[in-house]
Amino acid sequence: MLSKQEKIILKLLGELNGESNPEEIANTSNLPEVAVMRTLLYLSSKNLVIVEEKNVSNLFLTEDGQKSITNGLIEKIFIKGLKEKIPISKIQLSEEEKNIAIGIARKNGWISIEKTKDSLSFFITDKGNIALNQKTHEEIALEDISKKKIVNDNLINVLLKRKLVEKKLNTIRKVYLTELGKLELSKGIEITDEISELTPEMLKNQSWKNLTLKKFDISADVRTFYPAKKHFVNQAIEYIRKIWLEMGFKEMSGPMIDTSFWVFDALFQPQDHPARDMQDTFFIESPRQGHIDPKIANKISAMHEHGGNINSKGWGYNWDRRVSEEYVLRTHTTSLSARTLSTLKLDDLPAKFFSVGKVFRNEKLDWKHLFEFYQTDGIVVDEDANFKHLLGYLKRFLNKLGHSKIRFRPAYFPYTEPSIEVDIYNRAKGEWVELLGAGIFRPEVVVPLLGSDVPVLAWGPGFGRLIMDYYGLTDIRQKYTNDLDMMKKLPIWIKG
Amino acid sequence: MPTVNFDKTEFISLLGKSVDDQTLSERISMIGTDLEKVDPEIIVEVFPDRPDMLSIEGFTNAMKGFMGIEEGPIEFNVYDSTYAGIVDPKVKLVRPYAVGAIVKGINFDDNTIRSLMQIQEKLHITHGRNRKKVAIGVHDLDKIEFPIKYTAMPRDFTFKPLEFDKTITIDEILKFHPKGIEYAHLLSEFKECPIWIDNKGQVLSMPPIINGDHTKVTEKTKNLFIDITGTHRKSIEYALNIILMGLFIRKGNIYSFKLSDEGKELTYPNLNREIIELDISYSNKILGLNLSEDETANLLLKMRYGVHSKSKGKIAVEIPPYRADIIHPIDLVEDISIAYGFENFVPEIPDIATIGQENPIEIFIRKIEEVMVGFNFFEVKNYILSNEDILITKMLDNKRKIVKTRNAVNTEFDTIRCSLLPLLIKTLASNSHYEYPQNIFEVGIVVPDQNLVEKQFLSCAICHPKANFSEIKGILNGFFTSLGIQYSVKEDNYPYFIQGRSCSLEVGGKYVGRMGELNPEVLYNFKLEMPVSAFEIDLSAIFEQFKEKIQG
Repeated sequence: MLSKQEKIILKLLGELNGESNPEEIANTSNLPEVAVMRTLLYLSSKNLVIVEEKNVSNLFLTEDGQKSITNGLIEKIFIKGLKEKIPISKIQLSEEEKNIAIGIARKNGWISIEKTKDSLSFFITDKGNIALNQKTHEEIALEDISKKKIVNDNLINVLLKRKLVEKKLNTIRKVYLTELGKLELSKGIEITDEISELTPEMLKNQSWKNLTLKKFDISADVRTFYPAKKHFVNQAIEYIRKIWLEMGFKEMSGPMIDTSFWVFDALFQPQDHPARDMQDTFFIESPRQGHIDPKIANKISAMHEHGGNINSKGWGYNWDRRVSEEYVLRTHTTSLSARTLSTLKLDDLPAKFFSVGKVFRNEKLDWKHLFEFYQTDGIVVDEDANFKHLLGYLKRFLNKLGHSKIRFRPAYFPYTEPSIEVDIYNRAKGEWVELLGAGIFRPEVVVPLLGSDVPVLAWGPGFGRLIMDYYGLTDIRQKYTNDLDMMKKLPIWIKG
Repeated sequence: MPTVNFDKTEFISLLGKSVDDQTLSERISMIGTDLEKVDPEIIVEVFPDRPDMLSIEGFTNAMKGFMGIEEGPIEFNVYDSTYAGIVDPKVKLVRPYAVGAIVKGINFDDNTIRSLMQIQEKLHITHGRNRKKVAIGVHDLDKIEFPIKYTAMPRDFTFKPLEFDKTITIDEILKFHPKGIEYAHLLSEFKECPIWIDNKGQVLSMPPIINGDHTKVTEKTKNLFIDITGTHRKSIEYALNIILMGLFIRKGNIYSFKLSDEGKELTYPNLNREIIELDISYSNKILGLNLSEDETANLLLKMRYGVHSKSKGKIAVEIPPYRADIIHPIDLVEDISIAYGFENFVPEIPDIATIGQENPIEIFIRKIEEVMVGFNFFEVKNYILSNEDILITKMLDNKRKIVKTRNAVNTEFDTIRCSLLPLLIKTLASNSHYEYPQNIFEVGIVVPDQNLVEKQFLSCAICHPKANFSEIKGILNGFFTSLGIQYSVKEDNYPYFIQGRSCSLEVGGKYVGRMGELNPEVLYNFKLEMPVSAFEIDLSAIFEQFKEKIQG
């Protein structure tokens, strides 16, 4: 299908004996030259016309050249001034132009110069007077160039040197009808009206039936519209939650501001443990202390001091309840696992739980470190669970996260024994990278909370790196910069 | 976790067997340390439960067992002697516990000195909690006149400390000596300070700060006295045993040291091996293995335990005197799993049926987010920690009592957010160079006051040249319609909204949130030159009526 403009131009070319140029087509068809050019490109892509391009250099008058045609060359202006007895300083030329004009006029023998003690005096000669009444070769050449007439090369060089003319490259296009174009033309071309917008009226009165809708340039740039989205970190969290749910885990929840008791003591972290230091943990200004159920506090106290009534030595120090009552921002979501164990009954087993939540570390903010980030935790509470099961769960969990090559390595956490560090293999770097910590809760943790020494498998991956890698972020702070432009353009989380 | 550097050549010579780098890095990773590299130096992070691996001797000792070069515990040899000391009851209120030991015939080459200094420093930092719990002093035995005494001296007591050319008072040491300045806080509450002093009145050390110059160890020193003091008896005993293990491996001869303390005559070092009984059915159950008594015993020997006896599924395990981390049979089970090799366990998924279940509030929040995205609002996410200037001052909301942290490193983030609205305005201000309209929302935890109740809030803001109350109210109408609930507005003034253009929101006669056009003064405070209207809803307050529907 040919557009209206294509038809017009094709028809015109036929009338012009199959040969023309864009200017001529534009002038004859009254179409703008840009539109003609664009349409010719379409026609040539359909092999209906050939557009031949040739680069030629053309002479053009410069601004000074143009001025010289209207006002005369500067040397002429100068001697005219002399003739009319205008003082040198009043002649309408710049100092630089005057110097050049004097040089040329003198060379042409149009002026004579007399030196007095402290100045120069100029006089017009006869030759000068004659020159005033006729055009110089340069002036004639300038006029010829402006009329595109052919000019002697020597003169051109003089004018180029005087920067009165310049050379410019120019593309000359010629357009020919091809055989296919002639064939198309011979079939007869009917030109109908084209419209660009379909309106409700046209649909109502059915006038669209007699109209042709204009062909659009489908590759033209348009304004982009972006859909609103959930925050990309939340999209990733949904993915993590889905993995836990698919594996049959039930969600547990609990406070972000919690007593040290649930964050540390219940997890058998001794009160002088370095992780509890002021440097790593945020403490709350007011209120400073919370309440702990004395029944559970006594059990934990016994466990720390002497190992309670199980076969443990405990840590062997005096446990201080005041220390455990202090409010902190939880440093891990494992506090929720401890709380969950304390409410669980043996009849509820086996049971599996997960949590996703913010944890806090009192660290300087930089491109690698955040003072708050998400952590996810899972526990399996099962009388028959063992270390091999833990490895099995971890393997499946990590496969779901997309990691196939993993390695288990011994590790240390105060509340698990055995403890595992899980590494994933980074193919790009060719090395193992730590991904998460796991283990079986120590009896010192489980017995006082649950009342019985049931194996509790636990693992707690951070997933910050997963998000960074997925979106190719290089600075961890970008997660909370809320740059609306970046978030608009960020692809959605498609992994599922 | 402490990082330690070991010279590889020395490690290989102590190991007594050459090993290629790849095997070495693989084996070191699998014994339970975080390996950084093996070439040109071995650099590992030792876990805090294994202070005995902080020295090259202890590390090699463990590796020798793990790699099958040597098994069982080190057989210490202690010579009897008459070296003796006394603990003055005066120290009981300051730094109550002390132990000591004598080691003779040390060949003080560079390696030994370096190793002794490294283990001393690493034990101070980790096991010793920066000298608070455990502090170690090493002395030239031949300069000491026994018996010696661990006592406490007033602050005007004088002696010549290490690295100082004159005699000064304790107070001066704490004020001017670099070590004194560094550790003075450990003694700040005491009138008298701990001092080890010999029979001639020469000062050995002032724990946990500095040694005396008199007993300084030089390259000529052959015989050592090691003093350890602290606040926890077991911990200083372990520290002593860990140091002695290293010196024993270096061919030092250990001599006994008698210390009378609280009327008791104690002999150090105490290298008695504790016995813990391990039921192999327990370790097999935890590990999911079926190891025999012999197999289990061999794995324990590999981890350098002693096996005292085994019968009827029970093994009496001897714990080496430098293993500070064995407090329950589970700790032996872990070492069995390490010796067995994590790579040799076959992962298994048990067939137990449990049902996955989300918290209803999380489901509710997800629905809310979907409604907001449906309005074409972008979800933003701010930190839970913010600061008073943003939450209170800029919002002109001076009456609130908010929750601050005590010790934040980043003072810009030291307060728990009490509302999301200020953070939305901050977000808009930081995006003012982008095109409008900018319509955003956030859902997240806030702690409105010092009752510490954590609530889920939704806050939503529209920002463009014509943003006003009518538009935000229209959006709120649609929001509540989507939830299928009725709400009502009640005239109310908030300092951060324009007077007469703000209200509180009620559902079932109960307050659930607020709405209004932002006060230009607030916008000015945030340097935002574009009108904003917003609402904020306490989702926890409206969630109750959805709870059953969601779970149903």
